[in-house]
Amino acid sequence: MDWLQTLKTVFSLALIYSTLRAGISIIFAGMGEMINERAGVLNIGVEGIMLMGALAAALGSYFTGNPWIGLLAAALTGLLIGLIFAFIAITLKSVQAIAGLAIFLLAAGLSGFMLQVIFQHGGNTPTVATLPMIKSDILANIPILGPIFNNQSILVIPALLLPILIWLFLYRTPWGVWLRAAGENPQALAVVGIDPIKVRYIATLVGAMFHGIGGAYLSIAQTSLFFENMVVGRGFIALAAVIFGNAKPRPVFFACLFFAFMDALQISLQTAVPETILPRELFMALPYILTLFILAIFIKRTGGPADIGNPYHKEAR
Amino acid sequence: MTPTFLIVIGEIMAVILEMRNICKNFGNVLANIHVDLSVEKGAIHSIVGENGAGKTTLMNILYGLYQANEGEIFFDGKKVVINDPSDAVHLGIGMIHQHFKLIPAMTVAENVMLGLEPRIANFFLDIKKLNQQTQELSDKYGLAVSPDVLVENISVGIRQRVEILKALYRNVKLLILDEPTALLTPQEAEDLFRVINHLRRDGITIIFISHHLDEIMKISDRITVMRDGKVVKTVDKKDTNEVGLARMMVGRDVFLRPAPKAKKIGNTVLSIKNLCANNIFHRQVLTNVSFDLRAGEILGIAGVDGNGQSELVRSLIGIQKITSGEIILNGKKIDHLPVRKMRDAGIGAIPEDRLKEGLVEDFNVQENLILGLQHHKPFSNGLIMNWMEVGKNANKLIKKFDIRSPSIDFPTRLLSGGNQQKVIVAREIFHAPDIVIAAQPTRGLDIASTDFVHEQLIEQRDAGKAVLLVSLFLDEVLLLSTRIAVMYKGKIVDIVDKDKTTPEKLGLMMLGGSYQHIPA
Amino acid sequence: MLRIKNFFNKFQAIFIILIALLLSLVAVGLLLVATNRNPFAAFYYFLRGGFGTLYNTADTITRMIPLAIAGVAFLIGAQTGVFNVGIEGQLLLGAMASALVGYAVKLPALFHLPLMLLSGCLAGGLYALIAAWLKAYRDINEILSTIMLNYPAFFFCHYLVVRVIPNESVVPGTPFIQKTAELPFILPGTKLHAGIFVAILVSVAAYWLLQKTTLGYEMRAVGRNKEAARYHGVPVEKRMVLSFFLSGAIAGLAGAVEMAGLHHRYLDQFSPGYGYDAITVALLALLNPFGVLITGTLFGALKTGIMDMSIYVQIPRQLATLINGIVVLFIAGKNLIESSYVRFFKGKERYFDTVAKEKQ
Repeated sequence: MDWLQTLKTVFSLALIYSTLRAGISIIFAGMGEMINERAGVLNIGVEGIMLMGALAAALGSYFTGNPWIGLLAAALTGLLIGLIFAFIAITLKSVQAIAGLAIFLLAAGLSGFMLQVIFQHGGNTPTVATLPMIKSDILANIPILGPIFNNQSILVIPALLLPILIWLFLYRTPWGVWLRAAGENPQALAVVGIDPIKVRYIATLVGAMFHGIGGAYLSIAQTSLFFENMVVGRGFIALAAVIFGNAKPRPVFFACLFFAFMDALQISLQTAVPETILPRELFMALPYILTLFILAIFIKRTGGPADIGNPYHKEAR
Repeated sequence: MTPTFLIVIGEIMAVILEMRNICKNFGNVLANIHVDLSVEKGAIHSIVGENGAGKTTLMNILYGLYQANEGEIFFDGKKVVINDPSDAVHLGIGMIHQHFKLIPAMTVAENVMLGLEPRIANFFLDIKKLNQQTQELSDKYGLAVSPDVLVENISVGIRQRVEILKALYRNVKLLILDEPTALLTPQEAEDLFRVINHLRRDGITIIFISHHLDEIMKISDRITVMRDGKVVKTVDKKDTNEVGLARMMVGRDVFLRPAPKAKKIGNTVLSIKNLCANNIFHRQVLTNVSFDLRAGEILGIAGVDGNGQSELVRSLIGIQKITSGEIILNGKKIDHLPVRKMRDAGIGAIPEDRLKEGLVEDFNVQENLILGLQHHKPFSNGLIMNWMEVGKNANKLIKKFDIRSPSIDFPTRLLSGGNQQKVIVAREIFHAPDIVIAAQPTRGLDIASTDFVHEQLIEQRDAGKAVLLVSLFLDEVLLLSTRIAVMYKGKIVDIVDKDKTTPEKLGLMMLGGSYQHIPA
Repeated sequence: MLRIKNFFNKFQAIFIILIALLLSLVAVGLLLVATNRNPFAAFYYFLRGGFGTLYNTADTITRMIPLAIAGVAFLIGAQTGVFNVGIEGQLLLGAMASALVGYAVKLPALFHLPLMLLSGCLAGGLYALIAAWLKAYRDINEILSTIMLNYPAFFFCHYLVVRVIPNESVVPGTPFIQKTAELPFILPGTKLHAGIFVAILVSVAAYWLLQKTTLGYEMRAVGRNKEAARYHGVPVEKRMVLSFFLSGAIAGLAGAVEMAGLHHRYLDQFSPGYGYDAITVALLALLNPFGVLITGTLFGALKTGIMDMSIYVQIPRQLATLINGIVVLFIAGKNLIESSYVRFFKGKERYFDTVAKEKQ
């Protein structure tokens, strides 16, 4: 087997295209999770919210023929599930990890159940209308940028703008300061008259909304249908990205891209390297193994918000 | 309502605050019971009482952090409802808590202006103005701070200034200070009093909460004494003195007696040589710390919080890794041993944080009474637990140390703070270690429990043990110690005999030897 | 009246979890009604399918076996503060290892069966050590790492059985294990096998470990207050790693028992998510090693009953997973139930009337 040729095929501009394509859902999920973590709420159920978002988007697109309705449905689904999670984690002050796990398990069961109920068969929905793509001959001819951005879903634009907007919000607006304060020391917010519970609720809802959109991308942009368990761990990869990036916009964004790169790489390697030498399954397992490997080597022990994971008790003595 | 004027010795003084019939309970705990408080405008009004008397609860109600179950509040003559701190702030009430409500990861300016940040186009943060206005405020009141420094990098004394600036920024009319001198050196406390008088000159009313009677007598105009949730009496300063206040606080005659002197000082039991340690950020937190601890003495470590005392204690237990130096116990080097071995070698430790480090809350009392000893006979043969022995031990200790608990399998979480500390003290002392390390042993305890702990430490000293007392309360260090070591920035500044020093000299050492007073 | 009140207060934890379970059932019932299905009929068929005949009951208990063992696996970790959500992956690897040992090795039954089960334990335990190390020495949230490790485990087993191991049956799998490695069936006419004794033994062993040994004391201390444990000389990281290993080993054992007792070979995708069900089984049992035998039976009944339910009431099989999620949701929200419960049984105090009493 000609290794040099294989390498050349694999590490081409097409890989960057695939990275971006694979990265959009992780970026939305990661940015969403970063927002609620910055406010002090750890949401392990990202995976579940993405799954339900994907289902909602597919259903919305299926029943109305309009993928934008699907996107809206996904955002609303995210908000709804986010509300349930916020209630359990913030108001009831339960262990956030268990609440997140519940969301994850719930989504897995609920999505399969609804598929069965609506379509009388499990597995997947029929093909649905997808969001528009960026397709332009002019763009295609621009060197480097062309092949990367041409034929991407239109969601690539908000995905790339999101980190910048979020950074502006967190570090250049008063509300961003309050959100970060809620994650560092909610009591400090309370004494100046801002309710940290309200701030945490909003952050969790907004985060969950982005999780839902991240899931929607999977079913109405990256592919054109919903199938059971289609998120395959991307939600957890997004969680890892937020840990890796210490819940700060720029590092998290690059972490998301990096993990997407590994995902794109393994798909590319699967086609490039014949079965006889290395099995498909090895490549499929690669992103998970590498993610943990990277975390193990490069993690800095501290850096996230000081009060993350702790419920805020109003009348703490 | 009735006019809000108070006639005092022929003078008519306006009343700025009236709290009537305030009642507050937390479950079964009655924190405030029919409390009445009346504060004159422009006065310095102190509230005195032990820990648990209800002073902080009352002020938290005034500040909107808690809601009273019954009662009314009148501010500036009008009845007001304060549902949360923003209501209080709107009225002009400010509060500086014992544990500062600052955000270490943010700058001084961001903290001062939190919630009221200046904006560009009503949307974006105006960072320039943020720093500028903070600087102006700082200059105006002579409270020197640097606006763009992170709060985590400044000292306790300066953090308090930031808190005061926060209140001044919100045009405070009534400022509540909750135990403001608890963690300050004598010099810093002097400065604080100067600032308080400044503020009074500007027409700001001050409520001063403390249990330090000498400060109260120095600074107050009127004093309200609280005990067990009720108001005992409100007096003018000139009508009382420290003894009188103490009697009202405790309900019986309290003799503020000095501790009995040390009897016989024996050999060196513990020797620390040139201890150096770094924290997780690779910053040096202990530099060449050396001292000897002898049997029959109490060595007190004094210092402002954050100067290496916690790290020193953690090094002696084995949790903090040291980069160089030696710890020698009874002639044996123990510095690189795991925690278990260091403890087994003869060190008992009462930890700084009762709930975080000293107890497993969810365990019951008998389980907590053997924490750290569970692998020793007779409680276990190394593998299997002997619960009968554990129970016997628990009954013995409960009796000896008068621990108030309904049964030996009562959840420790539900004991009072004082009793929880008794569990810890009983456990650490009873198994006769050669050395007892007591870190902040009376934090948050009422007078009775504090006395108990002090008694136990002195008993250990007299029994020939070596006691290392680490406390942020200078008066406790002065009361109990035979010798006193002062720590500053990870170093030992000096070790002196208790009889040969004064609080002022110690205070100066605690600040590193020089101190810039705030101009009068 | 007071006696009854005290009774409810003492067993508060159990009653609250029962209420959580009840509320979940109500929620599921509502969901069924919303999708035009009869919840009462569903419940009837659940009971009938789960316990109706001897065969069904035996089937239920057969399904309980891996659930109970895996439930113990989870709770051993949880008691030490370690949330091992990777039970599924460890279970698969344990099953695979034991199936291979069961086939490839030829030994008399006295040695072969224990060896087979042991190999399952080792596989599961060693795999769990990866996540254990990541948590203890890199502070990586173990929920994240263990779930992520489930995927490679699944792919690996799938790969082995689909691409490497030759076989001719419809469902890809390993060859049958030797007779000497089998756990015998104990009720003729049913698939109930001697694994039930293994399950009971595991429960007893776990209880004994946690409550009667020094190690168990230290593990529980670490689980409830890591810092205090460390302060008092408990080697925290070592205990966590040990607990993680045991958790993985028992998960592997669950897989091995399924091989030895039920399937006698590794079948591709033989686990309908036992690893995730185990978490609910353990939580519902309040992390009690004996309780999982009860809650495991409940879940086993659900899995058996779902067949009848799907035939007669058109309930999709996915309901089982859904119920799993709803139950965990209500368990997560049990603080709400708890506060209402306490208020109901303790009553609102007349505070200031008791002032006099307090001041004795």
